[in-house]
Amino acid sequence: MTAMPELDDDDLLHGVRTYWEAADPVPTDMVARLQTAAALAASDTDLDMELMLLVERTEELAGTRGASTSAYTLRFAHDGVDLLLRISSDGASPRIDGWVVPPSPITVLVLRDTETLTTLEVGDTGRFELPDLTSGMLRLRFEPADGSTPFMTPAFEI
Amino acid sequence: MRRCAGDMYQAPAWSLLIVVTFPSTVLSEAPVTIGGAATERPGDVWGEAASAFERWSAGDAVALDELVRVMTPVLWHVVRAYRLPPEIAEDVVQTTWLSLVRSRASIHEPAAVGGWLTTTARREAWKVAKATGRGIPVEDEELARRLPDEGSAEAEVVRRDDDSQLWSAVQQLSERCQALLRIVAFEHRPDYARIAADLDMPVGSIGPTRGRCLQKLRALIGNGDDGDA
Repeated sequence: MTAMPELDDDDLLHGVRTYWEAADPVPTDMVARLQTAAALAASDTDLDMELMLLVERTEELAGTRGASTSAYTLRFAHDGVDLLLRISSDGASPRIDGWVVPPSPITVLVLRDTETLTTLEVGDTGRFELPDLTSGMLRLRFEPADGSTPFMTPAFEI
Repeated sequence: MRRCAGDMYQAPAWSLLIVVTFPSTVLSEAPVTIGGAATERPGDVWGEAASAFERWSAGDAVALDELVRVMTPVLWHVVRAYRLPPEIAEDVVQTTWLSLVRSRASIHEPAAVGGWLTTTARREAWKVAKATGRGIPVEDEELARRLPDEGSAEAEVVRRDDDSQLWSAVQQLSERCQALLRIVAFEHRPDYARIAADLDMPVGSIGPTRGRCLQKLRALIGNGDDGDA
């Protein structure tokens, strides 16, 4: 038997955490499910904002060039309004092409953490573009020009 | 104390002993995170949670996502210590988050949010466990010691992937010790009075039982050859 360094309680508890994180890990997607559930519950208590729900996510197959320019589409819905976002990349930076259906004049705020990255006005076409973004979590807030209740997407990663 | 607040985190001493069994890809990294798991100390997790809660309370809706991301793993491990099946454990964690959203105005001190969440999760887990006839075993530690052949499916995966002294040692602990240490390990400054109530143990015995379970784990790690006895 070689001499064992004495393990203190913190070492042992660190080991216990390591063990359980590997032996019984948090189920896949559980965090994402709970983020949505919590955000939805929070939106019920915020009377000035309503949350859109992610209803569909579609991956587009990468092009024949085999480049890492795969794109995907997210569809959010709330109270008769659909929002389609196509997330792709312009070279190095991600971009979003969005459509609000049915189209109506609306202000879009692009939020990251506590910051508003961009504000833009969407006209009668319901279309908007957000080029030159940086990767990370984003969330979009929509303020209809007719003064009806604003709505917001859950955070999503680009 | 070997460490002071603010020191860089050091790899536990035993990691140096068992890291030799790891794949070379892990060996090339400093053996700070055993088995590649991103094990954070509860104090750090609680700090991140407090910061996210503070920003969320100030109107940053995205910070709620961060709070859920940071604390959900802790809540998962605390709740699973009550032997609830995965689906029920997830429900308990979800109930905990919905309670937080409803009660956020009552949490005045952001630093308290971690403890509020784990306490709420334990209380809910205990309630559900009791209602469904489950719960943390109360048998004597020695009698409840798990035999090697009783390893669960997930434990088998662990053994195959990484048959370290530590893991075999944790598996040899009684279920009661496993549960108690699992809760204590993920908690930051555990509330012994509350844990004692949940485990049907006298408050005064939690400290000594925790100490005994840690001592047993220490002995098992130092005695790796007994792993299959």
